[in-house]
Amino acid sequence: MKHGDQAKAKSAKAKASPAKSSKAVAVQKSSKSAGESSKAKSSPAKTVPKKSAAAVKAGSKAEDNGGSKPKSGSAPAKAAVRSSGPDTEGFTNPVIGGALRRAIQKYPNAFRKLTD
Amino acid sequence: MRYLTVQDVVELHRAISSEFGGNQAHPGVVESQFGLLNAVQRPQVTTLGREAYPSFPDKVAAFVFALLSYRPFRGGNRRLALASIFAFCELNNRTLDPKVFDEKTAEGVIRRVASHRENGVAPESAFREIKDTLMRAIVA
Repeated sequence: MKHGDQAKAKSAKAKASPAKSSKAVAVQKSSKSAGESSKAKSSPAKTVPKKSAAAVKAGSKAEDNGGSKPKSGSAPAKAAVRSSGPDTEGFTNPVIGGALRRAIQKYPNAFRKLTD
Repeated sequence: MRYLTVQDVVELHRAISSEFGGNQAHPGVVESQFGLLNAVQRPQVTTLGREAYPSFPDKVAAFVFALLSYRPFRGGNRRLALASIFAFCELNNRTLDPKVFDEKTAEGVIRRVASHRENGVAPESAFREIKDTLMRAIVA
């Protein structure tokens, strides 16, 4: 055995030992936390009635619905709608819808400035 | 000759108000049914069996002048007047010369005609102004 090998062996031991210890600590912690969490889970489940669970489900559904709303009415979507201008769909005579669209494209500032 | 109907004008107002009116817009809300009907029928008026407004620019000017005088909607009458000039021309396959009827001219004429009473301008003068502008601007 050379002098350099000893040093290497020491360093290897030093590396290996904390890993073991950390693993052991982690196992201990996980077992503890699992026990705590199981306790925590079991205790509210016993105390909370069924109605509240249903309410929670309903709340989550409502949140889901609420979450989907902003997608449709988000700022980029509104901007896209605005940039396209008024549709010709709202007109019984499509010629007039087209004329309005062209007028707005030609004179956007005049339409913006003319206020009653 | 094809004329704008009451329904066309209300739809135009609804579209313009929802686009430019902001929070206080009243899209399609008619304040004066009489004024709206009068403005729509003004280009077709006949006197003693003859058309009161024989040429196409005359008819457009008469319609716009009546619209700006009666103000049949709660808001957005000036914007509607500008849009209806385009719609009237498009219905009858006419175009507006952008060199004559540019953005500034259009805005200025409509503003002056709409406020001719407040400024003490005679209605004949206001009508003549918009008629002359449209005569120069409308291309067959």
